[in-house]
Amino acid sequence: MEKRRGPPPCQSGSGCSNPAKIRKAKDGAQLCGPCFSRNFEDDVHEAIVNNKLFKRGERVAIGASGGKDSTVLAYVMKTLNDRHDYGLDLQLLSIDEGIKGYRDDSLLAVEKNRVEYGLPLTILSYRDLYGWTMDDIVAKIGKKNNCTFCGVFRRQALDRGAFKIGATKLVTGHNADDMAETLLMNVLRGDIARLERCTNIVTGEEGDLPRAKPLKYCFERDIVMYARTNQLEYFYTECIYAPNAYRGYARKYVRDLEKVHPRAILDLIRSGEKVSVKKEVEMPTLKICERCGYMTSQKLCKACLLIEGLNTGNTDLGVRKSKKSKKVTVEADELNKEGGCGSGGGGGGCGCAGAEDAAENEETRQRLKDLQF
Amino acid sequence: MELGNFVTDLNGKKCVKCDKDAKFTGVDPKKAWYCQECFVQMVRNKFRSSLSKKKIYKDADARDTLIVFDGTLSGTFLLHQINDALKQITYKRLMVKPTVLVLVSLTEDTEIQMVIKRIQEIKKSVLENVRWVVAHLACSMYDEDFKLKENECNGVEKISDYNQLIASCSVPTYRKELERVLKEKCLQKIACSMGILKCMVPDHADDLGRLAIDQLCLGRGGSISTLVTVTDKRPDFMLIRPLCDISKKELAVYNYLCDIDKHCIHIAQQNNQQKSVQTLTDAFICTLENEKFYSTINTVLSTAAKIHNTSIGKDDSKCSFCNVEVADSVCSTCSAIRECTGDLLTLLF
Repeated sequence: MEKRRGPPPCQSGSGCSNPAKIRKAKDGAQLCGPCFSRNFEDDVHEAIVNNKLFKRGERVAIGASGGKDSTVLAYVMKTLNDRHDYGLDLQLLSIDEGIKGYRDDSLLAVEKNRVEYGLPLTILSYRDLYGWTMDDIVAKIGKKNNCTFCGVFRRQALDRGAFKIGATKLVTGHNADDMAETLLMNVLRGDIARLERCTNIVTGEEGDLPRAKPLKYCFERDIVMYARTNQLEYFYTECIYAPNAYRGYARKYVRDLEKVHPRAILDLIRSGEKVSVKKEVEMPTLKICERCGYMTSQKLCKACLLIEGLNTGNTDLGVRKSKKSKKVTVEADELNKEGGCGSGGGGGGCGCAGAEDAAENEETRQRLKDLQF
Repeated sequence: MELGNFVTDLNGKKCVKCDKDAKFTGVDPKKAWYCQECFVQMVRNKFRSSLSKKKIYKDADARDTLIVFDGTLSGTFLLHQINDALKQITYKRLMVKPTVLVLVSLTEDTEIQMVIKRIQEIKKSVLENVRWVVAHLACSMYDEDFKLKENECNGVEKISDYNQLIASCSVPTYRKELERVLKEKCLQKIACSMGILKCMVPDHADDLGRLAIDQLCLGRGGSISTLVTVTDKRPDFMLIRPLCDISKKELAVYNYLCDIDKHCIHIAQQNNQQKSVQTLTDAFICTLENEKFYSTINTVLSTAAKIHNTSIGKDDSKCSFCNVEVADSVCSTCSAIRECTGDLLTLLF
């Protein structure tokens, strides 16, 4: 009886004779497990070296959520740091959004990473920074638009956490599929300001804390296969509050593209790199938030605006455009003046607001000042 | 299509321009309702304003323009707009000397002859005093100057070469892109042989929105402004897309209301579409529009109009094949297309 033909041999360039087990999504090469891992790591190393992401001696904060992207990112960063002697001081940084049954379990995965990789871990929570957990926010505003709050808060929280541990760079686990989705979203929504920079491998380079994305050229499927090949434990439940309808369309489209024409993912990213805005188009200018000192293009930054909306009960503030929100903004300004006069003079009363509301606002302002660290 | 299909979204609304009952909308049924006369006027205004905004024919030395007619909805609309523009019906007369180019993509000789007969009929009622030329897409395969003949289809002897080149492309995505680029090359060669510098093409907003996303997926993000806006200036050649603000739905309603549907040329086409970036983009946009995101195309086109290539201003050398992407000699997408067609495409460089 004729023997059944076995799997094809590994297509690695180094003459490996093992049978192939994994087909790399990026270029279709069929590789065995160790060669696949080595190939993946070399891709990340090439992205790091070609773009000069790090300097020797830098302290780098790794944004770790317990999911597959950040777990693979932490493992690969440690592996490459040891192998190629980047000379980096790697630290894990996690944000606890306060979603019961989801984030506490994913933080357990990050704890395991801390123990296994030997990297220090810092955890910040929304409760400590902003006074609100995501559970509280969803209880107040419902499931619609809550991703806006979470995304705005997390972005600021990561920056504050990195400052706290003295990091000079922050790396996140955004992969090629995420970049392609973001580019499409910005085109579909007409967001010109973000379109110009959404595919940069380093953003905020001129600021105090640049963000780098070493997995920018790695496909999501390859990241999953890498985690499986190296037996990395990660948390894979989706967020329970995230319907995220509009991004879902772009995500489905990008996944279909990956099946039909895998090169299109990298071509989308290359398109984003080539795009720049014409000079005639007006772009927002960066300023400093009046309350917390964070950079913003408005008078108040988005996080302060959202917190004010939560505390005053006007949950449309910062989320939806309406004539009503303008009135509330004016009232809020008057309230601030009165509060300021009150605290300055010492004897002023807050006549137009209840005592509880005033105390809550004062507490919020105090907590924001404390965020200066 | 029946008139009753148009009123499903409008219950007692009034026209935004006059006091009559509204019957028609643009792409978004929640905005801008029109009665019949105002709808027709709105579509005409879009056509004329796209030309006026760019001042293409104001004080222009070269008024000779090639008007491309391909038998589609938008081709018929364009033909009739030029016809009205020469007669000074509702606007100032457009100072243009048109030559109609009937573009044929069929390959069967009997079908081509049927198209030529149909053209003779259409010619009697639209632009009768204007020169008409029939040409096949395979004219892009000519490598030297050629003389155009009237009353017959030019380029039929190159159809086999054209089909061979298209068939040699094994990737469906690149095959469709190759067809698009060859069509543009065909227009450029025909215009050059006739000494004409301007060419109007009947691409409407729906086609251009899909094209913008397709080109992003092919890595030509820096060039989508050139590919989807009104004017597309190339060396010794200019493509004009006056229908870029008008959606397919508006064209269909306009053609029906003005009774020019009869000048379309419908040929049954095979529907065995292989999956490609282009088919995925089409399904993607249809999904968004079915989910009531009506402004998707408008947003994509307005975004595309505001961006350009990052290396603008220094060494404006373009890809020698597609003529739009900034590259030393050939852009990366055209290199990929060349790789999967073997040696056949190299002959065109």
